[in-house]
Amino acid sequence: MVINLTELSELDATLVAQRRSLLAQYLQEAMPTLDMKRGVIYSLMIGPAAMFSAQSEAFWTELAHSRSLSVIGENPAEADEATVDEILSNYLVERLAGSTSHGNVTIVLDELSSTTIAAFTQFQAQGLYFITQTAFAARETAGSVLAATDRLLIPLSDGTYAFTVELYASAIGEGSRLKKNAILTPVLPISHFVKAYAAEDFVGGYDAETIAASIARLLPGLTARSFSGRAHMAAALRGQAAFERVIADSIVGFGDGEMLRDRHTIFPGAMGGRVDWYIRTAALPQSLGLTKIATLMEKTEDGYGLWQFSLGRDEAPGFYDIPQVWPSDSGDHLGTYTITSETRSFDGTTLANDGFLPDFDISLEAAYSRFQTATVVFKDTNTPTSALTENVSTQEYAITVRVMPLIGEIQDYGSARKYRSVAADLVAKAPVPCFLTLSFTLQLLPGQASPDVTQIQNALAAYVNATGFIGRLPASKLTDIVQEFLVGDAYAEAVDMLGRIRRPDGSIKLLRSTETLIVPDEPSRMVTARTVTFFLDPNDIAVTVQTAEIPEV
Amino acid sequence: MITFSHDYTGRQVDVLAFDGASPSGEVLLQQVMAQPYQGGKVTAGIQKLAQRFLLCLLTEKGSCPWDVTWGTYFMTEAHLGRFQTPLDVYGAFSQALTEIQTQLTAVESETDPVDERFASAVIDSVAVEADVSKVYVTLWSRAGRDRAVLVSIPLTV
Repeated sequence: MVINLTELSELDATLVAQRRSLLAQYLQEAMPTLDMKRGVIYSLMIGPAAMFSAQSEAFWTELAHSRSLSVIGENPAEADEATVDEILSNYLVERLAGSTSHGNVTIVLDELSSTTIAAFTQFQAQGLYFITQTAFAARETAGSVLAATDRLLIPLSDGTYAFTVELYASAIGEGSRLKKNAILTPVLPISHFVKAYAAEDFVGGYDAETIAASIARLLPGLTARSFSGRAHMAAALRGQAAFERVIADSIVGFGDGEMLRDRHTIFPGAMGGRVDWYIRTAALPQSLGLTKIATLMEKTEDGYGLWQFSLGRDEAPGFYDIPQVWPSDSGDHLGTYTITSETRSFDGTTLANDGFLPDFDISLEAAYSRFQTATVVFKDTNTPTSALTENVSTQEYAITVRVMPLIGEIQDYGSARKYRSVAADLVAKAPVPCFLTLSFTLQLLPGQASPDVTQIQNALAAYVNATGFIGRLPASKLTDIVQEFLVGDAYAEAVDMLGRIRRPDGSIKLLRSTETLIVPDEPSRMVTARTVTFFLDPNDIAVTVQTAEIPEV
Repeated sequence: MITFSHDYTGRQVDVLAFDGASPSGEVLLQQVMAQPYQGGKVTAGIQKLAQRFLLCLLTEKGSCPWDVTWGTYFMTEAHLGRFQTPLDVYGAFSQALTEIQTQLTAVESETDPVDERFASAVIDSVAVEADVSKVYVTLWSRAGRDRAVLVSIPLTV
C-alpha cells in the first residue's frame, strides 16, 4: 500500500483552519485562563498541531476513500492505485496491464532472393516502431521452407515477390494498432526491399486498465465462474486470460425470442437446453487478409468469368463479410471484384477437442459462429477466360474478411468437456453488426479556431465501440462528446446517423436517424437489442466545420 | 514559576516569549521561553498585546504553513537587505503597520480587556547601524496606556 502523507505546504488551507479552530476550542474549554488568540501558545502549539492534525486527517481520508469501493467508483482518479489493486485482489480481480499489438506484415522484394529478416528488426509506421520477435527467412522454393519461421517468396504480377513476417508494436496501447494495408518502413535497409504493408488489422494492443474499468469488473470477479447463469458465464469468460478484454456479451437462451435452436421439435414451443452467446471481443471487427484459390465457375459474355471460392469454419471463425477480393499477385491494394453471390452454411463435423457439435438445423442458426462457412462467387473483370476451362481452371486471390476476433477460441473454450454445461449446448457468436456512419456539422463562432477533428472522431468511435448490447444509440450522447472539444458557444448540429445491420440471414437493414438509432425487434431473424452491437470506425465519421455568420451587436 | 500580577487576575494569559521588559527605560528584550534557572512566564494586558504585535511584525507573511496569511513583509524586506537607510525601514514598517492593524483587530473581540486591544502604533525613531537596525515604536492600546517596544533586527548586507 502506498499512500503518501500530503506535503505540509500542500494541505488544504480550509481544513487546517478548521483544525485550528477546533483545537483552540478544545484547549480553551480545558484551560479557560489561556489566551488562544494569536500569540505564543497559538503560534507554537495550536498552529503546528492543527497542521499535523490536518495532515493526518487527509491521510486517513485518502486511505478510507481508497478502501471504499463506492468512493473509488465515484472518483477513481483520486484513489491510490496500489491500494485499489489490493482491494480488487480480494475479489479475484486484477487490473489488466497494457499490451502491444501484433499482426502480419507483407514485405515485397524486387527480385527472387533469399532474405533473412533478423529478430528485433525494426519497422516504422505512423510514428511508431514495430519489431520482429524472431528471425524470418524468405525462401525461393517451397522445398526450402522447413522451419515455422520460413516463408515462401510469392511472385506478384508486377515482377516483385512477397512474403509475410509477424511484427509486434514496441509501444503499449490502442494507438499501436495498425490497419490493414498500412505502410511500414524498415529502420535499416533490407536488400531488394520495395515496400512493406500490414497484411491484416493488427490485434491486441490494449491500454492499461483504468481503475474505473477494473471496478466495473467486480461483479464478474465476485460471481462464481461457471456455465450456468448469465452473470456466471460472463465471469467465467473473463476469468480466462485470453478473454479478459472482452467488451460485452449477451446470452440468449430458454424463453428468449431470439433463440431458434431450441425449437427443433415437432411440438410447438421451445425445449430449452440451447445457448447462443453473442460476444463483442473487440472495438472493431478485424480486417483479416487471406489467400484463396478460386475456381472458374462460368464464363461470361464479356470474356471474363465468375469465380468461386469457399471459406471454411476455421479460416475466419464467425466472420461478418468479405469487403475485398483481388488478385493475390497484385501489389495494388485498392479495388475489389464484385461478389455476385454469397451462400452461408455450416460445417456440421464435430470439433476436434472432444467431439462436441451444437445442434443446428439451418445455416441462419450458425451465422457468425465458428461453425459458419461460406461459398462466395465473384466476377473477375481482369482475367480473360477464353483459354480457361469452367470448373477446372483456378487462380489465387487475396481476400479481406471482417471478423470478430476470438470467436473460434471462445467456442473451443465453451465446448470443452471440462467447462461446458452438462445440460445445454452452447454456440459462441459474434454480435450481429450494425456498422455506423456518422456525419455532423460543427458551427464555430467568428474567430474561433477549428478543434482537432481527429480527436473528436476518435472520441466518438471510442464511445460507440465500448458499448455492448444497448439497443439504441441517441444522437444526444454523441453531441455531448463533441461538445467537450468545443469552446465557448460553438456547437454541433445536423447529426446524421446511418446504421447498416447485416442480419444473420445476410440481408441488410438500414437504420437512419438524427435523434436515436433503434435496433429493430426481429427475434425470428435473430436481430434484437440482445444480439446487435454498434460499430463505428473513426474513418466513417464526416465532420464539416463551419463558422456561423453572426453580426456584431 | 508562573507569576501573576494582582491586576491581571481573571484574564486570559499567553506565554511570554519576549522577556526582560521593564516599566521604564530602554531594554533589549530577549526572545526566550524561560530564563536560565527560572521557569517560564505568562503575560497579559499591554505586554501581551505588544507580544502579539511583535509576532505579527516579525513573522514573514507566507512562512507560517498553518496560516499563510499571518504576518507581514517587514522581515522579508530586511532579509533581502533592503534596509540601507532609515527611510527604507520607515517605508517597510509603514506598510507592515497597515497589515498588523488589520490582523490584530480581526482576532480581537468586544469582550477583550481594552488594554489588550490594538489601537495604533507609531515609529518614534529608526537607527541603522553597522549590523543592527533599531526601530523605536510606541504601541497604543484602547486603554490609552502605552509601552515602548524595542525591536532589534540583524541587518542583511
